[in-house]
Amino acid sequence: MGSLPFILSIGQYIAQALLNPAISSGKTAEWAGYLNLALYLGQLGSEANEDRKKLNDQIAEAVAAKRGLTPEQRAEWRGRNDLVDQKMKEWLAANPG
Amino acid sequence: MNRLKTSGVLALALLLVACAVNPFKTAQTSEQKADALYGEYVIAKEAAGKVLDNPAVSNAVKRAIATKGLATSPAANSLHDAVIKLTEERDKVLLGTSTEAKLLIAAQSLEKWIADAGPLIKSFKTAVEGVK
Repeated sequence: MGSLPFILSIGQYIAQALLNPAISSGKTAEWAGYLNLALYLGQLGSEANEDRKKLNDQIAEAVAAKRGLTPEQRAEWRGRNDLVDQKMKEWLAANPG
Repeated sequence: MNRLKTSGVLALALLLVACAVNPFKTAQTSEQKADALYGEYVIAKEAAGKVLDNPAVSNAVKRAIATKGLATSPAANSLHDAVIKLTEERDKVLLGTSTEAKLLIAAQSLEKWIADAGPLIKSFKTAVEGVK
């Protein structure tokens, strides 16, 4: 259920976008802002859900085979984490507090 | 019209919930739970990485998320190392080049890292989901 708050937050933004009076009153800039945000959140959520489904499939395969992930699968997840770590280090170095 | 829109939003929300999967709940053994936990961490981490590219998010929030992400990595990577070590020890026992005692130590180490890294990973995921 860890993804539920995120899903609800997306739903909240989409609901705000769809139900906002700005839509019917012709405030297109405000509407466009909500829509852009909803699309951005939706894109992030969609990518995360695809990855979560991929991970779930890998775990389900491992359960069926009575093992853990394969070394190649583990190496891929580790490599992806290392890449983000590097990006975060570079961002912090370029944006000191 | 509003009722129609609300229905659409609810349908979309239900669809999103239906699409959501939970690899940690799919996992059955400690080894699989550790793999699921680490994978979930990486997915949240990559989402955090994308937040860094979003000009609508303030630098203060980005800094907090990046700092928390980097602070969580050592425990998460230790969890990952522990599951790899357990697999290696099990293979060695099967080959007769290690002992059941060493396998037990590796299994206990993995349990410890699931207990230690799990809350940190969940806290990081919550922080990232809050930003998004």
